[in-house]
Amino acid sequence: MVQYAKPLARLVGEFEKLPGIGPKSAQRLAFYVMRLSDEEAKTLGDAIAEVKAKIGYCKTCYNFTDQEECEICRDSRRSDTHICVVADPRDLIAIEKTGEFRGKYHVLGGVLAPMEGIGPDQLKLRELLARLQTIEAEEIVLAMNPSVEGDATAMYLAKLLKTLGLRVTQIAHGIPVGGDLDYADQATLIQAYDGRREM
Amino acid sequence: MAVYNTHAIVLRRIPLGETDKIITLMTRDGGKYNAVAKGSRKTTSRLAGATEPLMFLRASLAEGMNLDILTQCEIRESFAALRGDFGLYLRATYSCELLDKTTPERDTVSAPEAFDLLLSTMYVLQRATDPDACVHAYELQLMAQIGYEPQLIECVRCERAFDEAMVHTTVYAPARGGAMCDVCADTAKDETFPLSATARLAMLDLRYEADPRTLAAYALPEGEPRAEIARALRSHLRYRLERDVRSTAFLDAFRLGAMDDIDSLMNPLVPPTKDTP
Ligand SMILES: [Zn+2]
Ligand SMILES: [Zn+2]
Repeated sequence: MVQYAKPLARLVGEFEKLPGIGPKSAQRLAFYVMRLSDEEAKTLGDAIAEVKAKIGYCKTCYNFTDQEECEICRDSRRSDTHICVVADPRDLIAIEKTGEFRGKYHVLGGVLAPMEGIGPDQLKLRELLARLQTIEAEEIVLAMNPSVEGDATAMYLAKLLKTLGLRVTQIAHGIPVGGDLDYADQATLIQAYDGRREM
Repeated sequence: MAVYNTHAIVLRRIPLGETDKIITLMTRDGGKYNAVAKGSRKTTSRLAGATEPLMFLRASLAEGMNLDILTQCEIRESFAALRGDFGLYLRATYSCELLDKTTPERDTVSAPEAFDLLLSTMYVLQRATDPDACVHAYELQLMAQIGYEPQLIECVRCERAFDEAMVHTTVYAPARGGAMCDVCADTAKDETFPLSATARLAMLDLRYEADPRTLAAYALPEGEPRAEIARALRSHLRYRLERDVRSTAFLDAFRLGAMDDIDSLMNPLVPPTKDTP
């Protein structure tokens, strides 16, 4: 069987480790890199190196940042007393894009996942509790994915934060805008029904 | 491509690619196996909610080259009560993981029994007076199904039968897979844990209790016997299963109240000293 030259095989191997990348895609990416000019390849390599060297976690909210504290946390026009708790920096970006939320965030770094062994200790939960002791929070908004684990995490956090006398809300889950009721899956419909509100 | 229908419980799921999921199904007639649910991570997918863990489905699958493909499904029971209560969610998740870790793939012989046991456990959990009684009954009955039943009727060492009326304190010897009389315990080198007659008799009750209504109303004895049962079963499973049941740690922390307690969450947790009396 013909084998790739070692450096190429190594690159394919590295791509294969990426999420969502199978052997076929890894090969395609490696061949794409092979066709890049030296300059382009160096830019790609540098970007990876720079991200690792410069990006860390915000000391307050655990969002990604190249500073000690991220831009959102440093923004004095935003409310300090409304905290939106998300699982992942990507979720923060998604909510930011709506432009609706003018408070600050807390990134947990995941959700509770008993089967994967991810518990409160693996998340930035202790940090959230410590942060909440230093501010007079008016509202904690929970914005987790509508998955079993996301819901369980929200449920757990809500109970915990309420024992601290905090006001806790959760983003609504339900039918996607532009979707057909008839086409919605049952689980979503059940949830949307449970979350119905007075009009 | 042959298409077939089956009843299935979603035990777990992992993401695949950008928008798919691999789901582990426990089916009544085909045993446990993985299937692909294409596009089910898109919020607009009709399969999105149904392919989440703890769902009980009537599923249509197409036989695939490697993995079968979930084409359509209808939710038979979403177990909203189990998802809506953190303690019940942990117990249901643990029950699913325990089945996943003890069931070989595509074992069609033992599948109907195991499937029925898990399904009825989930229904009972939804309205259980004492959820841990339901979980312990499940553990005991599942162990019996796979041939790892704890010996609770006679001493695992000298085989002397425990008289039901006997109030002798016995011990649990996980390495030997059962209860041991106090005489044997004095000289045994095995790791043992206290097991009162109250605890042992409750375990026997739960081992044979098949009526969902009785199970739902069953309450474990409070105090020490309750802890003894949990410890005996935990250690028994640890000796019998090759693989770690990861949700165990959660359930134990939750039962100890460690997950609700701000102080213990704030201070780095001392790993629970499991299995030490
Ligand atoms: Zn920040
Ligand atoms: Zn004996």
